[in-house]
Amino acid sequence: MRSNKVYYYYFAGCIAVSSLLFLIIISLVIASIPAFDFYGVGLFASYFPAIYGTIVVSITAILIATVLSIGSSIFIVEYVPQRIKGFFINLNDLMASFPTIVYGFWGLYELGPFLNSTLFQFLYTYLGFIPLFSTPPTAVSYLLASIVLAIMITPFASSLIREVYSKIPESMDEGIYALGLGKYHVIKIKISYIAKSILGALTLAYGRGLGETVAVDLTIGNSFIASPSLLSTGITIPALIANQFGSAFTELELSSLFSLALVLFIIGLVFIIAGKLLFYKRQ
Amino acid sequence: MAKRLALSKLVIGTTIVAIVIVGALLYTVYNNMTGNNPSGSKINLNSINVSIIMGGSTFINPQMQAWIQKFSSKFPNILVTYQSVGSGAGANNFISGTYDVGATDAPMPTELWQKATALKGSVITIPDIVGSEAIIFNIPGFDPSKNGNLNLTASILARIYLGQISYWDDPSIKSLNPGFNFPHQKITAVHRSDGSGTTFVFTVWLYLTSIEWKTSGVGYGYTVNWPVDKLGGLGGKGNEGVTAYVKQTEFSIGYVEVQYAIANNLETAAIENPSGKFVLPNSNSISLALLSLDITKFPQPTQDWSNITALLLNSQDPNSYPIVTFSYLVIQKNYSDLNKAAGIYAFLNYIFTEGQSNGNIVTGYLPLPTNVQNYVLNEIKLISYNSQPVYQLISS
Repeated sequence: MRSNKVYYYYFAGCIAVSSLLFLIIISLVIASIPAFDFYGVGLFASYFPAIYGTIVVSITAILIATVLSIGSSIFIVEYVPQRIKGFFINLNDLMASFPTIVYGFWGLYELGPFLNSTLFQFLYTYLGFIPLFSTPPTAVSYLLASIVLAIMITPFASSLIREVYSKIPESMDEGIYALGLGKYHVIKIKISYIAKSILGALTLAYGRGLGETVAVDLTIGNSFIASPSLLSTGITIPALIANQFGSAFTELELSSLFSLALVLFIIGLVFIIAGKLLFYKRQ
Repeated sequence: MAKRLALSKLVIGTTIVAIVIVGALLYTVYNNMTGNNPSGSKINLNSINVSIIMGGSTFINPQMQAWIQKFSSKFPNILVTYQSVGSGAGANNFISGTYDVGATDAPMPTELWQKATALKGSVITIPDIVGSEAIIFNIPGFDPSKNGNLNLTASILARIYLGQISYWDDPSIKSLNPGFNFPHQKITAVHRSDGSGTTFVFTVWLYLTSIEWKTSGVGYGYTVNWPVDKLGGLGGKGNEGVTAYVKQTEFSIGYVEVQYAIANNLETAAIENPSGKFVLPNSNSISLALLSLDITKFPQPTQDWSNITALLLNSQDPNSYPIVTFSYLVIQKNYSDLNKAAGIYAFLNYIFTEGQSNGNIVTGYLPLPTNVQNYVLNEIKLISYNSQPVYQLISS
């Protein structure tokens, strides 16, 4: 029958499109083989600063972004007067579509010096005994890169969360008020109601932040070290690849960069799985 | 019935004629675009349409953009673009074919030159400008008009980038600069994060001039493992990135092509030369370094040039600046596309004739000495189309 045939064509098309994704991963693996052949597991040891930097920056950025995005979506839905709600929503979506290099330069030239002389100085002076803040503040650092990254992914995550949050039926609000609880509890319960969606939104936003190259490249300092202090300079895998790819002469160098990209992919996978497991544990 | 037959004959006939006409048009357009010149007649530079993609060194970027602007007002039909991506990427992209012309601050290393020659037939290495590397710094309160120049030696710079000197009030810096009271502040050393010819020249100079660097094992190259990273050294992308970091960061130091220091109003340090004098990079001190140039040391145009990086470093003239270098262009010698070969020849001819005159050289760069200019003009005569020298095929 004709409709059956059409269905099978659709099916084939879908398989083709999704297999593209697998092909990318397979080609990454194939391109990395020379590097793994040569270095063995020592590859992770020699590129450890980049791997460490990626993990540190993404975790810190996600933590900050969680707070910022949930906060801003609650603010827009619950507190902004109806008349100017549209303005804020448009502003939010505009920020989400900004070219990220603009965030990078803004972070380097404006936010960086400001934070350096205020927040970072405070953290170093009073909390310097914690290894996390043990180096003197510099113009660029893990923390600056994480903050810029968090600010970059917040509008995206916030708009996703806001969409779901605003769809929660009003009957839920009324029910909670009927129990005698206040607005704080209303918000708290509504947020936990959509916790799964928030996790999904943050995962998507995290995916965007993990591969972020230019903004991080400008604000992290590109020094090939792994420091326990957030106020120190460092490097991430995307920044390293962006810097080295153009001048990777030999097959081995190119292959090492591809293997780093594979590592990046695996890190992302681990984080997403961890996030899902964490959520199901809570349930 | 007869009408239908006639109609179908008409349709077929028209189709055939159309195909023939379109085919002929495409053939001439194709020939025009790729510059196939079966007849061997001379071509007019003003009538060809070609795009030439160049890229590489950030060192030469300001000068290259100025040249391109002037050239395109003469020949708007020859579109030249230059991407400032770093010498390493420039060499790589030239080999892969992305760039028609690669620009590098150091001649390509031997393995790359071999790869390029194997892939493209002969390649010609062309010195295109003289530039120098300035040491820029950001010390709040330091004013050269009041405190004198910041005097530095290769030994001090080596120890800074090795992480052995970490504070500005180190005795070795203070003893050379008694006119300023250095605070006890950490030195933030800025280097390049990408594959850079500027780094190559800087590290070669350190390797040749400072025993600390030579024995450290760091070596020289487009990228090196900077020991100072452990103390908070920063990597900037391109000369632009290093300049931005030094401008932004107090008590920092970095190495850039001198034009970037001039354009951004950054002070440069006076570096000790082999005669023991501390010299600032300016057109005088740089041109004095050129006097000792021995052009007979140039390799053949299509040979490996990687041994002559140090040709202009540490010149013996007492007032010369020690970190002076050529920047280089690398091109394929033989082309199968006449328009491309002609366009490249036209642009390079412009650079090495009008482009070397005083009004066309950007501040901070120096024109090639006359003997080098003549040498280069002979080099570009080697550019050939199907083994015929291109300059003989250009009519204008």
